Amino acid sequence: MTRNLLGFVALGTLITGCSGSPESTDSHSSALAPGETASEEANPNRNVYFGDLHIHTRNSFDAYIFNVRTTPDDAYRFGMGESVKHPAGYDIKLEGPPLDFMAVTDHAAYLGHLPEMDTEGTELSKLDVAKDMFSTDQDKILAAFQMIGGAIRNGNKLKGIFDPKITAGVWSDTVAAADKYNTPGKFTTFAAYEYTAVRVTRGESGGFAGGNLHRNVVFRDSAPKMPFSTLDSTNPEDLWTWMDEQREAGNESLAMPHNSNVSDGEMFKMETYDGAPLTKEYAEKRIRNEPIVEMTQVKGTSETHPSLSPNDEWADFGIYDKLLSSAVVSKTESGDYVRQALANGLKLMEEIGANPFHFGLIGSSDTHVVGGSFDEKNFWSKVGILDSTPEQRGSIPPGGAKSWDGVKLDPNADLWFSRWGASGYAAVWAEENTRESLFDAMRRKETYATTGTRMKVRFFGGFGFSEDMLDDPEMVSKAYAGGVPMGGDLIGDGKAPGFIVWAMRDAMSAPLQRVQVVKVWMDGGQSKEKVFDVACSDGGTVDPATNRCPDNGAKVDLTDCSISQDKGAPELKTFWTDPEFKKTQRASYYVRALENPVCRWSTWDALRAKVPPNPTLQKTIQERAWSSPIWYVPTAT
Amino acid sequence: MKNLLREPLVHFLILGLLVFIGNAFWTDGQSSDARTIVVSDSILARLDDTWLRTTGRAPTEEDRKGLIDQYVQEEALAREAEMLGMGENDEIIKRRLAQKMRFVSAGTQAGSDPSDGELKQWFQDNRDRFNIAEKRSFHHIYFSPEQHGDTLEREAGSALAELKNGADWKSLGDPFMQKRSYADMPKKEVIRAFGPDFAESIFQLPMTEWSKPIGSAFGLHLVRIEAINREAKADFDANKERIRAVYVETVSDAARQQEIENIVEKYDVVIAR
Repeated sequence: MTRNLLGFVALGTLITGCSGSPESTDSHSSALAPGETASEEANPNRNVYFGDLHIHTRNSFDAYIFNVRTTPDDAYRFGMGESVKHPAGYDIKLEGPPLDFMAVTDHAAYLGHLPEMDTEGTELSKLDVAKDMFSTDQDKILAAFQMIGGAIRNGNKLKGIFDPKITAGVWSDTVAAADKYNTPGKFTTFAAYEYTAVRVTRGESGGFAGGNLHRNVVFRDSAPKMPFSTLDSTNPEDLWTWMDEQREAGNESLAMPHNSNVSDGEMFKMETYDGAPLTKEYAEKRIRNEPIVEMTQVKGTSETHPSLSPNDEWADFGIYDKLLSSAVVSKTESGDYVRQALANGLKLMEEIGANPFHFGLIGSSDTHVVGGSFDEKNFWSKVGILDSTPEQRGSIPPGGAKSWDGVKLDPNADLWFSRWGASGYAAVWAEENTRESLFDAMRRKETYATTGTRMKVRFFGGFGFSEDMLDDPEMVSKAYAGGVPMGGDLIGDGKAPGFIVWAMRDAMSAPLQRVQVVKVWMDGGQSKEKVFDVACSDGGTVDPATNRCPDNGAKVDLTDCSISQDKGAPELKTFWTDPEFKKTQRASYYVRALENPVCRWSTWDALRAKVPPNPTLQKTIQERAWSSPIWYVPTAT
Repeated sequence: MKNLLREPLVHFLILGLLVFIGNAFWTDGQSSDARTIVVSDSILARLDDTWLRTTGRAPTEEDRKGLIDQYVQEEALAREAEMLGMGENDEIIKRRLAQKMRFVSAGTQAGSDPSDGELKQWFQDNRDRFNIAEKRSFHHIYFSPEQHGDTLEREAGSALAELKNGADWKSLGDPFMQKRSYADMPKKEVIRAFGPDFAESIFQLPMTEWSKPIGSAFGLHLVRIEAINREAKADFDANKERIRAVYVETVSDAARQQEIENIVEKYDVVIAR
């Protein structure tokens, strides 16, 4: 007690600008706003930290064409709660408190080349392609832009255009910005970039309509002099080889695949890049380098698809399945969705003795305007001046019209922008807010994904767990001691595991409606999935026949987007055992926690413009969080 | 072409092109003698260059004649349109011109490099802008409505009685997923973590005694304020770079605004009604 009080007093003196304390002489203190204090003690029971690990700035070739001129510095300032300019001219700012951690992830291929082309006096600015790119002739601009885009996809180093010195210089600035803003205990920033492979699956004429194989590569601390991009190889397996080599050389990293929803069946394919059968070596290499997947972001959510999970009433969330910049629908039947990959992983474990899809989950934004758009009430989408207004996004009728009668939908909006979402966050359970602690948590997959809410979710599994742990003040430390947290493996000992599931609402978002466990398992060589409601709000109990909570009756008033004030729970906590557990069946379990419904961003846009919401779009959504799975691993008998 | 029109890029490019055309049309039309079209060396060079980049070869005499004809035609039409006043009520042209003027006035370098003395004086005059909002440190004991339902208030009340009898606060209440103790929270962070009503309440509390039950987004809490930091005064030396940035922005904003006002002042404004 006395020690705590002393702690507070010590923090108090820091605020008044005492210069003798260790924190204020720390080399990172310049990044603190006046009076801000750094660091708390490490918490062995871990705290949850919210961040965004997918952010583009002017250094990305596409962002620059979207009129983005803001920098990695601006991105980090946005994360710290300051406002920055959207390329359309308005200010954007986080609705919530500052982020706890961030990484700027610009496209590594042709990194910084467009700003260089647009800078008078540089060699690149004298090239025809540069003159075309920044000319006023739309055909020329498009041709120039597609020339660069095509070179990134095909991995071509265009002669006279690609300049490794530019990439190295801008990459070194990117790493320096991450080092500059990194403030242990307060705000963690990682050196990172995006590896932007797109597999040609629909022929050359398909343009960008190919299999999205994008990954973000995040470095734990030190980073190499050059990023490995599609210009080195368009095969992600070569990226993993490089990451292995870098790890040997002391540059530890992990890669996070994203937008598997538009991978045209390629992201979680059951064969190698070259079409060979998956091997144990492949699986181990993949999971060593890709322990987590970015499952939700502005361009859709990749949990599952209604056609894959017909018995999951919540499978229609964030569905976006048009291949990038095209009207072609991605191959949803295999390789695009996380839940299916989890099942295939179990299958592979039985067949080849290793699981390439033994991954955890995060969300992030993929903003291309340096600031993620997480809030339904105030959505600015992703691609700069292309989707900066409600009209461009198709959430209000064009030309000031007051109704949707007879409106022909703008294909850009209808195919793409209208379908995007105000998502998501990476949530990480770590001892403290430092690079080491957060990175290690990501490696052990103690992470979860949210759709922009800062809901808190804990999930533990153990063989000795019991119901009475729920009220134990030492529950968390006992759960860590006697079991595993999200992302962990439960190695079977003949008993059924018990799970502790605990979700707590975001005070500034809607209350919780229900918490579910999604089970994926193997039964005689067949993969199965099932969604169990495990805790209900408003005093409801789960019907054991349907595994569903009763409807809690929460409503959204579409005339003003207000929500039921008397429905939903501030927290839901339960002890759960799998009623269908079989000790010989390999399984994975993850938590999905759902909030009461709220207006979707498109409905908020319409409300502000005093027009009806676009009838082709969902009017409300349920914000949600998904934990990394816990795997049950039967011991060989 | 139909495919092209579906490209999002094309949409903004078209807009950009319109602005550019409007701009070129207006500014070029104002130059030189109204009835003389001069095709200068620099214009000829530009035409040649455009040709070269489009076709990949130098223009022949024939080509050049065509280019010049095209240029002269455009120039003549643009000037005629201007004389007919066609540019006058064009919103795009107007906006573009106003934007250019704003850009010119933004180019001012006034106050971009203040001396330490100037900066310090300005800081003294604008101190309030750098002070930190009041922050509070507190412990709380949580009571979950999911756990207690109708007896929630009674539970919280009896815990308060136990505290008065010397019970250890850490032994009371329900487990709370977030922290039981918070240090140096400004009101806006308390709002974000617990909701606005709770934040309002705890910023009214006196120090070091347990409160009556206070409602939040999560349920009820007993709260004890451990420390209050009132409006911390910002220190000049520790924050010099930030102060400098705010100073530069403020001064150049003001200068820009002043220039715009000077221009506006040259005009008499008559508003109908």
